[in-house]
Formats: sequence, structure tokens, C-alpha cells
Amino acid sequence: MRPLSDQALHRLRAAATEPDFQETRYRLIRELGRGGMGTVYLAEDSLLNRKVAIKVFHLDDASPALAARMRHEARTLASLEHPNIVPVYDFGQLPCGRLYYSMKFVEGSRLDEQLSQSLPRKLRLFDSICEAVAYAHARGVIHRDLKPANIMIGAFGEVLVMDWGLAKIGYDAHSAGHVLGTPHYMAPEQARAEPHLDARADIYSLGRILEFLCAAEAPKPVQSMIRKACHPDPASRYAGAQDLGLDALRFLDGMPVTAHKESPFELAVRFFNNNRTLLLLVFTYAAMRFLVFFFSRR
Amino acid sequence: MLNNLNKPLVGIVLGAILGLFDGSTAMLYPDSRPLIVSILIGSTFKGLFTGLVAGFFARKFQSIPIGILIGLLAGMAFTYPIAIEPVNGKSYFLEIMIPGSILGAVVGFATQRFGKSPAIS
Repeated sequence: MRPLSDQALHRLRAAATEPDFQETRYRLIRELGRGGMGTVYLAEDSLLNRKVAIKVFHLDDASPALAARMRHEARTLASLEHPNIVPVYDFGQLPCGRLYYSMKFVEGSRLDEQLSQSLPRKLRLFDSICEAVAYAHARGVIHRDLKPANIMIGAFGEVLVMDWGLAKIGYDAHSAGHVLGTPHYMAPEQARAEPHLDARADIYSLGRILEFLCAAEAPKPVQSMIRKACHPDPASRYAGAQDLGLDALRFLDGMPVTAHKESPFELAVRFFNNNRTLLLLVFTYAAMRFLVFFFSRR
Repeated sequence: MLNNLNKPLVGIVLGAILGLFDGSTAMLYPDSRPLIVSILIGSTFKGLFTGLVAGFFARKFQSIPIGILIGLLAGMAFTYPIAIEPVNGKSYFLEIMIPGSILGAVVGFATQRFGKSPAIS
């Protein structure tokens, strides 16, 4: 008997783990990505004739507790109707017993692929992220895994916050004592697996995202915003994601940001930058007055 | 504060203030001192009309370069009748025209930058 080749083994393994969509309205196209809790596939909705992204729960993880978590994730996402949050279309169970939910397929790029953009564009993207997170917080939902890889920029430049798999509504008993999230973007209290996490854990992650986006080009006010958002003490962070987004907009509009105390020199530079044309005109007027007066005396 | 006013009003207020200031520079010329009151009134009204023109333009069109140009031209136009009048037989044409036109440009810029545009119905 001939042993199976590696290629054949790989195909067999893929066929065994691939979800069976035969009795559903979806036709599988290809795998998009694999995460800790499930795999996301690109599929076609044969009923509405459109492409959708389907998250299918891992076969070997299908314990009742994790199935409940999947259901929770789908319901959480479905409850958040916001232009910057990826919408859920459908939720169900495959013939093999695996749970799935379908959502909008976002054609675009991830936030970590947007580093070549200008600083104002990146700050506007960041404000959209803050708006989506603030909306979720207002509904008592904390994302807990905000990072550039979980944010998509659509074909029209729209921002979509994805992967609400670790989202928490109110006090989450089954995550107490478990460290959930991504190390660099995780708030210190989240890394300590404290049970009573609140929206300020997401503020920390937003600060890390801002740091990632602006990197070395961050001007002083933006650096202060990052420091305030990523403060180890949650009480010293921004009170809400909206405040952080508003500070980003204030910076873009040439206004002072709440996180940064300006020196008189910085104030003067900002005033000069905001009123260049006006100052140039006033200077021209003064110069003309002086010249006219000087020559009329001769 | 300026953003709470409508654009023509911003033009009128700023134009009048800058016109008054511009007129007061006539104090630098001894020949003009006896006529300072009429110069101040004339200059204030010149600034006021320039501001009104620039303000109405800014209400209809949003363009800083064109706003500056309109202010400059309005300033020039309203300064001209004052500038051609000789004072004690001496003409101060350039002394009045150049700074007056530049102040018109300042008002033109300010009306574009500040003040409320009418709400779109």
C-alpha cells in the first residue's frame, strides 16, 4: 500500500475541517482568515446573490460554553447598528452542528496597511474608529480586542471595526481569570485578567492604535493624547472614546487638545499656523503704511 | 465671537473698525490733522462699505483667494473718491489708496474665514 503524499493529506485535512454549507443558502468561495475562535470564509449568498463573510466556529471547540459565546458574539454584533461597525446578516447552525454567522464582506484593506496615508487622513480614520467604539460603549459593549488588524478600511474609505468575538456586555463572569486580547494592545488591567473591566480598557487599546498609526511622526499634542489614553491608571485615561476622537479632530482643526498643556511658544506657533494669511495681510498693511510714511517724509 | 455673526455683519463691524484705525493714521501727517474728523468719518464709512460688499460676496461664494481679491477691489473702489481729493492742495493718492486696498483685502479674508453662512433650506 502506497503512503499518501503530503499534498493529499493536506487536501484531506482541509476537506474534513471545511464547513458543509450544502443545506444553507451560502456557497463557500474561499477561506479569508483563521482566528482563535473560528474561521472566516468568503461565501456567496445564493438567495440575495451577494458576497458575504461567514464566521464558522471551530469544530473541535464546540463545547456548550463556547457555542454560547458564539451566539453572544453574533447577538452583540447584531445589536450594534452603526456605519463603522460591520453588520451581521444572519445566524445559524450548519448540518454538522457548527454555529456560524454571516456578515458584510468588506472589500478593502486593514488599518495596518494604511500607514502610508498622511497624518490628517490617519487622524480622521482614527476618529471614525473612536466613534464606533463610543457607540458600542454607550450600549454597554466593550470590544476588548481593538487592534489595527481588526479594523478594515472599505473601498469607499469607510472604517469598519470588526471581530467583536471578545466583546463583553456588562460583567462577564466566564472571562474572569482568563487573559483575553492581544498583548501590545491590551490594557494592564485586562492583562491582569481583572473581572471588572470597563470601557477604559478599550481607550487604552485606542491609544495604542493611535501610537501605531502616527509612530514617529506624532506631534507633541498627539504624543500627549497617546500618553493620556495609555495611562496605566484607568482613572487617568480619557473618560470616553468620543473624547479621544474629539481631541484628534481638535488637533486637525488647529485647536488645543485637552491632553496637552501648551507652552506660550507652542500657542504662538499654533496661532501663526492657523492665521498665516491674515498675519501676512496685516504685515503687508503695516509695511505699506511704514513705506508710504517714510517716502512721504523725504 | 465673530463666528456668531453673519458674514455681512462681520464685514461691516471689522471694516468699520479697520477703517477707523486706517483713518487715524492720518494723524501722522501734519497737513491732515485739521481735517481729522472728516477723514475718520470718511475712512470708517469706506471700511464699512468694503466690509458689506466682501460680506455679501462671502455669503454667496466660498473662496478665500477670490474673497481677498473682492475685498481688495472694493477697498480700492471706495478709497478712490477719497484719494483723488487734494488736502490743502496736496494729493495723498498712494498714501490713501494702497493701505486702504490692503485693509479691504484683510476684510475680504476675514469675511471668508469668519461668520455664519446662511442655513441651506
